[in-house]
Amino acid sequence: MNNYRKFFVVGVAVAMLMVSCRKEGFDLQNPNTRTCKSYVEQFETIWQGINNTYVFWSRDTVDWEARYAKYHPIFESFDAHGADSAEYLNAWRGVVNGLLDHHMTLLLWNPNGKYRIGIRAASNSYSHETDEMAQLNILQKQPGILDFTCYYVGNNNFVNSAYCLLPGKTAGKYIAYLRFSSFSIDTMSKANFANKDKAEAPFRAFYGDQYAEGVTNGAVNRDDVEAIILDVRNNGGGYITDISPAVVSLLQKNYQHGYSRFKEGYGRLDYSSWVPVVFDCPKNYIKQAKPIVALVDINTVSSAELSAQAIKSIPNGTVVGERTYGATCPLVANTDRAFNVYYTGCFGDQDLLLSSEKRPRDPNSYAYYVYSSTFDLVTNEYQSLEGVGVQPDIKVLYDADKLAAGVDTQLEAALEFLRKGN
Amino acid sequence: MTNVQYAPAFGNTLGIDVTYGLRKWLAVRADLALTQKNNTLLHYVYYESTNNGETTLDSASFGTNSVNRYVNLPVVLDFSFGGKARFHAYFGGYIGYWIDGHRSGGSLPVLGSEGEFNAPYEFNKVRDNRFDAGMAYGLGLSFLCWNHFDISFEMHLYYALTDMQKNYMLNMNPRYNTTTTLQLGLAYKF
Repeated sequence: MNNYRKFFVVGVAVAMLMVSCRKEGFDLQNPNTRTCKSYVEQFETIWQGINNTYVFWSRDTVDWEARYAKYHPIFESFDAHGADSAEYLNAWRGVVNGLLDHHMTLLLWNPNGKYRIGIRAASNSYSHETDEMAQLNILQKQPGILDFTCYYVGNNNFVNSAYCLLPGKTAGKYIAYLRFSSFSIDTMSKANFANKDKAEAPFRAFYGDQYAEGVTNGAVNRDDVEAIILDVRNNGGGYITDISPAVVSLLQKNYQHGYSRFKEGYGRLDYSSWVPVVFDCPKNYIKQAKPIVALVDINTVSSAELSAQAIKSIPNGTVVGERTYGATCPLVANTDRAFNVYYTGCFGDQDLLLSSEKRPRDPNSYAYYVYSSTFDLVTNEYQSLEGVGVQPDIKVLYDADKLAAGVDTQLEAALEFLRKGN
Repeated sequence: MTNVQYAPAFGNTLGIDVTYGLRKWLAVRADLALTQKNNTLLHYVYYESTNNGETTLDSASFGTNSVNRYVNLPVVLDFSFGGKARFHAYFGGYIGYWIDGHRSGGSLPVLGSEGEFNAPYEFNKVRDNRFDAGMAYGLGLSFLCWNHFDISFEMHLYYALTDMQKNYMLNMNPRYNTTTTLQLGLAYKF
């Protein structure tokens, strides 16, 4: 019986001791609530925030630990010796350079000098500016053009748009053309601003009076309109909810783009399950299926890219132009609804988005705002378009020289395809 | 604001065991079993809503039901006392291998629509540590029937010491399986 007791006591003791062998968890800092007091704290907070919330760790090839090892001493030296604006900018460019997320932008406050810098993480080997004014000037000189309506109030304005009818393949029939600069259509319809009637005119002409709800009495439903061009070149994207009324209404049926996921924890690979992403066709949709061309270029971004992919997915849809930018994964810009709900996406001080006199709350802090994708989005074949973009069916590169000479080669290719079918 | 919590979930286990008596009061036992180590991930979301000008904090929850099937092999010392009815205490360790899994549930709103999923779990070679090992504890009561048969009622606790994740990133929070089983057994004594 003595042996029994000894064995039993030793067994219990070993069992209890082994319990303490387990490494326990720890609380991680929410990057939305950190106030940084030094360059190195700013670096550590952003590095850790991206480490925890970045949505592309499953396929990004950047060695994030190596970035920490390389740049941590540099930011420490900034605290010791100061940093001029070029050094500060270059260091941050180096930290995020090459990350796959084509939405990712860092807004950083440097209290030494009280200035904000903005850095885009990704870069495309192919890029150009799009001369939108030149393209619009060429458009309105197209032979046989009718009903040209344009509202253009400068770069980056969310309501730039143009509409017209162009001669079609068949005599007496037309191609309805719409160009717009941003997926802010529903927002525009609800906003009050000067010249709203002029801004809305191209959309009313193309879709109809209830343009924010799909197709009603607009040109695309006319019997003498046989084809459609949706020109989303230089379109910076916007609200993904606009895709249904603006694009899916032209497809006549719901559009499943693919699948999406977010994260369920701080771990880099703590992904949720894939969930189908379906854009519903609004009840007001086009009466008759017609050939549709999406005109795209390298400055077609985000929701505009998803729209091109939607058009590409239907038998009567064709994408003309060049590959799109590759920022195809949506985001929620509000940090309370991004990181705090999905464990992914934007984090930091949104005051850095404000005009200069209002940012940041504490001008002596090392404030930061990281703008990045909330959702990982793939096609129905589980292919990611992030960094790749939508590939055109008919490839026509931007030609600045010909544009200057009065020829929009991409528009010409779209018109030739619709008029000749090749 | 969001809050993710892992909650335990029921599963099942089925196995065979072999016990070798060293003394009347001490035996070594190995128990090869297929054991589910399941959990539910609850994702609470808190948000402000305004009705008739009054703002209130509302919440919604979404869950992922995870079924994780393991081959489990505990080897324990079996201390016992009593006569035909014997009380048992088990101490030892176990090793296991995560053979497959399944995920189902409802998702947070994704791009404006709520989604559901129900699919086999796809292992991630970088993250998932399929090897499982830890301590095994248990209590049991057995009854000798018809000279050679033991009917037993047992409760076992498998306390994992290995993380379900490989050490694939800096500042990683570990996740462990801790599994309790209730077992009904029938044994033949040679």
